[in-house]
Amino acid sequence: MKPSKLLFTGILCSLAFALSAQAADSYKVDPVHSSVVFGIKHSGVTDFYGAFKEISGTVSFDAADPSKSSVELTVPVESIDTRSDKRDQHLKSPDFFNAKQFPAMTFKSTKIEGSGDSYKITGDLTLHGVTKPITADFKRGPDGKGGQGKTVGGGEARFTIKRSDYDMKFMLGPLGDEVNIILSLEGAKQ
Amino acid sequence: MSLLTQILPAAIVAMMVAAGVCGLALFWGKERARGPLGPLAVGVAYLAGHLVITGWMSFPPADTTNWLPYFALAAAVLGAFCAVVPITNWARVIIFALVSTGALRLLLKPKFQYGWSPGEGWAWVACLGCAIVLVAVILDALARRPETAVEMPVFLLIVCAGTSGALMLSGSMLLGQFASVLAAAVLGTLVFTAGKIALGRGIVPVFSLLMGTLLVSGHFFAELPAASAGLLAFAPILALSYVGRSNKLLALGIRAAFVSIPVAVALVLAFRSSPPLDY
Repeated sequence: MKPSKLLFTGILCSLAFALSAQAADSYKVDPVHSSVVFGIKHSGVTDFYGAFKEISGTVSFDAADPSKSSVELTVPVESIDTRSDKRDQHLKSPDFFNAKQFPAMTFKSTKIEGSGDSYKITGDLTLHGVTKPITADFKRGPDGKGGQGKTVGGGEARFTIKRSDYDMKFMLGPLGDEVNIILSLEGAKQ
Repeated sequence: MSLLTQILPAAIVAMMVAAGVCGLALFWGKERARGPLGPLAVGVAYLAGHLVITGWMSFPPADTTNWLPYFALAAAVLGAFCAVVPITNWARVIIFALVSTGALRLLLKPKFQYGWSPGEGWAWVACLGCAIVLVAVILDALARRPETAVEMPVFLLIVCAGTSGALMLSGSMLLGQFASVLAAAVLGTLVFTAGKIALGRGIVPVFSLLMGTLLVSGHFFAELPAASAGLLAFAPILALSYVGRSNKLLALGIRAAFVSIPVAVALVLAFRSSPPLDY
């Protein structure tokens, strides 16, 4: 092989490697601009809403091949906030989240499919010591510029789980079984 | 109302199961049956009541307080075994200490995971195991007294009721419900008393282990003050007080009043440090 051809092939290979390495963008979840909000029916009347004030994790997003993307999130149970200290304390007790036994909820994706701004994310949600697979529709937002000039990206997922599936069965009836969750994520590109 | 509707079904099932198993003893032959059937009645009744509250559980349970029905069964089998097979008191204590240690290690697994170093954790398990064995020794002394056919269930009921209240005050209705199931199981054994049969020593491992692990759960996973847990655990020691040669009913009343004092103090302490649930 001529030296020029060898050089050309080498450059091509390096370029291809660099492109593949850059294909998946990594985002670190920004806890200040991300939200985990939940709603649950009270007395069969209407939903009351609460949130978790803390969230951490990383999102690896491959626009060219979304199946290579991944999401890992951790939400500390102690950060629950339903605008009532008394209720928050009860929710952290063994009756519900049992925060001293299960200090964090986690989600780890196992499959991501979709394109453009619509994706289906399947993964394992671990809550109250029980791990179950869930699938959520995720609507991706456009990338933007964060406060420090960094590129930020994110989106929102809405899904419903049954708390009884996670062995959280206290006061089923007065408090609904279905929990509607809104997960809004924003992260800075690393 | 909602709390009552949550507590009652499990308590009724536990009481019926205990009463049913104890009823068997009356037909089977008093002396022969009381030993193994007493602990089995309380153990199986607790299991049934617990399952009414939680539903079927995965194995091994994720929430370690759901080990309690398994502890109940293990202790019931131990109690029944000790009632049938004559073994020395020391052997009885050693076997119970081993069962208690294993139970506490399973129950406190999250503390080993998220809070304690292994050394610290095992030190806690050893201390708490010793405390549970001590409670068992006190209850065993009580069970061996000749006049305990009526007294034993009464004292245990006072302690159980106090424990249930204290656990509810500690911020966990669920743990309080578990204690009320134990109370209902003890109540069911009054069928024995109706047949003038004492509960026997077999019930000691079941009650000690369940009461001990409930109090440990309340302290480490809810907000039960350590002083409340200690007072409730050791309240039965006052039932051993000498109350003179009064008539049996009066003596029972006086001893019950003695047992009620630490239970009441435990409730006051639990109340004072309870997280408010009136939202």
